[in-house]
Amino acid sequence: MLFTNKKNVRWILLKIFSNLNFAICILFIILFFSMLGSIIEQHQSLAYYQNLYPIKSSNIMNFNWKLIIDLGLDHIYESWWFLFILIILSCSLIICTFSVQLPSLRNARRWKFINGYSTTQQNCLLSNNIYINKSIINIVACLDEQGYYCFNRQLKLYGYKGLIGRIAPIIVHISLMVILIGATISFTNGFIVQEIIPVGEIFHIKNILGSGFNNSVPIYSTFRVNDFYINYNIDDSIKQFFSQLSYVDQHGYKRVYPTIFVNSPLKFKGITFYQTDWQINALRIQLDSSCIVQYKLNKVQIGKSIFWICHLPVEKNKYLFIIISKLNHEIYIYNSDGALLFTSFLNQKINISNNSFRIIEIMSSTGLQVKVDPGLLFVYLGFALLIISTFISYISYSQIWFIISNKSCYLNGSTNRAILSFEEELVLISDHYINNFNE
Amino acid sequence: MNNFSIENQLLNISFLLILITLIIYWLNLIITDLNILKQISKFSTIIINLCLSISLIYRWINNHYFPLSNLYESLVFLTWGLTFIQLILEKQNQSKLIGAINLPIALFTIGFASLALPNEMKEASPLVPALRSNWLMMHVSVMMISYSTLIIGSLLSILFLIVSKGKNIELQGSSYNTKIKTNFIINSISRKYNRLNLLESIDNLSYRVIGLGFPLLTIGIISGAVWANEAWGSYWSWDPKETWALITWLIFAIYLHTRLNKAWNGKKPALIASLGFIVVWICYLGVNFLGKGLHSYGWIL
Repeated sequence: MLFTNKKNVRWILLKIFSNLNFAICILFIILFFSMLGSIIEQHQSLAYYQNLYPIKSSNIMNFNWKLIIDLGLDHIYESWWFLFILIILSCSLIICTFSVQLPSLRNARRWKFINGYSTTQQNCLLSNNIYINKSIINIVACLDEQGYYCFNRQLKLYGYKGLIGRIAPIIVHISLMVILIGATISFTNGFIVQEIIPVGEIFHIKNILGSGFNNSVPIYSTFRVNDFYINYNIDDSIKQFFSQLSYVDQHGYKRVYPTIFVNSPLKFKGITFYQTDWQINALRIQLDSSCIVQYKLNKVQIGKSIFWICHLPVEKNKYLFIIISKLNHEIYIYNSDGALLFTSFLNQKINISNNSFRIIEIMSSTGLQVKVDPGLLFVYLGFALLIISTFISYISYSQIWFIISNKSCYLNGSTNRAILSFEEELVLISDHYINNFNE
Repeated sequence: MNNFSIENQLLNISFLLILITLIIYWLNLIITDLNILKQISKFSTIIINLCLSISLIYRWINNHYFPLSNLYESLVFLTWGLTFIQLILEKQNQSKLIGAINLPIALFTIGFASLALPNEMKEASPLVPALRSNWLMMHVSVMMISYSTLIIGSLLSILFLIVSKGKNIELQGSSYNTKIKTNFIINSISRKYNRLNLLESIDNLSYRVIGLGFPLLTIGIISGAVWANEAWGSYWSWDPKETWALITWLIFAIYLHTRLNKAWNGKKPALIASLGFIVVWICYLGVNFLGKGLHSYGWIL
């Protein structure tokens, strides 16, 4: 009894999961929470939600910060229930594929001969056996011309085309599954690291932003930033920024890699290095051709323009302001009254009130994102399959029956989409048939 | 005459032509037997599309990148997409309805680009490093063409709902009916075959147009994901624009699935497609005006 109940429950579940209405409902739920996630700002501080969604005791149905935090609406896309909905969708896709789509495909490949319909005889085309043979040959020729696979049994003929259109929904489902599997592999086995490294420095992968529980971060791998530079447009806006990296092995051997920039990452032993950011840190100044000092630069934004400023003490209560607008370009030197004294370049000697100095280096850092994504291949495979199958799914699966009954010919047709085109095709077939028959 | 004023002139001509063509289309719906109106409107739509094409190509040549980097350029491209899809559909269907419902939207987009946006938003500026990629042309152009197609398809669904208001409808041109056999008695004298009425043809056309837009949207989203992974190492980051593109994809995926379901026949899929119309506009314009996320054009509201 218990066994049959279990069997019934399993059968009911299978029936529910393979139901099209159920799949539509799941898609609507995902759609709703995706909308909600774009309305409620994600990953903000508790204070942010408390300020924006305060508790108003007067309203019973009040949408407040406590509700957001308790339901995990501050991180919808990572919440257990959202992932659970995606798992349900995956199950629905798998069950639908095996219980509906594959049997439907098997059924579509079968020969289906049907009997003629009881239709009143009028102006019969065929009257004897000789013409019947000719009819069968003619209709086969007409259907073959339109790309139909034909099967003949006695005075009945069956043809179909566009079977690939029936395979497409299965591939769509598989591709979505492959994407979800790839994303899961990435989530469990991948990691993302962000590093800001000064030029010339050696670094290890350590500043982990996000990682799966089964990842293997290569913490002992050593890399070096050899160079960082920026290309500018005519209007002084940034055109592109570049980093030159090298890998340093245990023996100190350096292996230099191609320059990376935004949209052109570096792939190394399954690790990908992305150029994401940059910053100017400090100035290295040589005073009186002897000691070298380092001054921190402060970033200042005026309108759309960005400057880096530092002040250099020259005498008591007297300062020089050094302003940089672009990396490795002109350096502007102002006095404490705001008057421009010099426009200098790197390594150019500057003499001010018995003091001489030269700016020998603008110290910059490159912002790198380091990523390992073992599921990427699956995701890309899923993408490719999804594109191909989405297009293939628009190929109509059409069936045609040709029956000779009571000295009449009947042409019956069925299609799963593009009915107008199919009707026109049937007219074309019948025209060809009549023309061939009368020749 | 500077580059910007030439572009402006072309857009003004386009705006004026769209307005005139729209009136002609609407007249053609009232006065059905005048074939010359149909010819004029078709020719005028071709001229509009050419003006927009020249404007975009001119901007492309001057700025050395495909003009899809800001809101102004994308609105012009969307208008181009709307007129281009209209021309393709009219070539296939010979329907006067497509232009009559599409051109008000084209008028809105070109009007919004020309009149509502401040001049600084119209000016071309050099591309930021992240946009310096061949993926820009691939991803954004496909997305814009898919939006154009889905907008027209959704508009046809809205029209279907308006025309079918208060009517109990039974469609035979729906895509679910795999079991219905179309019978032909073949003989030398008569051939009987069904022709779809107005409602059925609108419904059928809407389905076919959305059926064209959906794969384009799929390609657009996927190419964007691949580009994002190449640019900053994440193919999906739940950015507002990405999320709404997914919502748009889900809406039309639901629509296409409802077409396979006999229980959902008739008005229900049309309602979903109509909802899709709103979602496309939220995805395209609404999200950008928040001024948030990786896809923001900056905001003017």
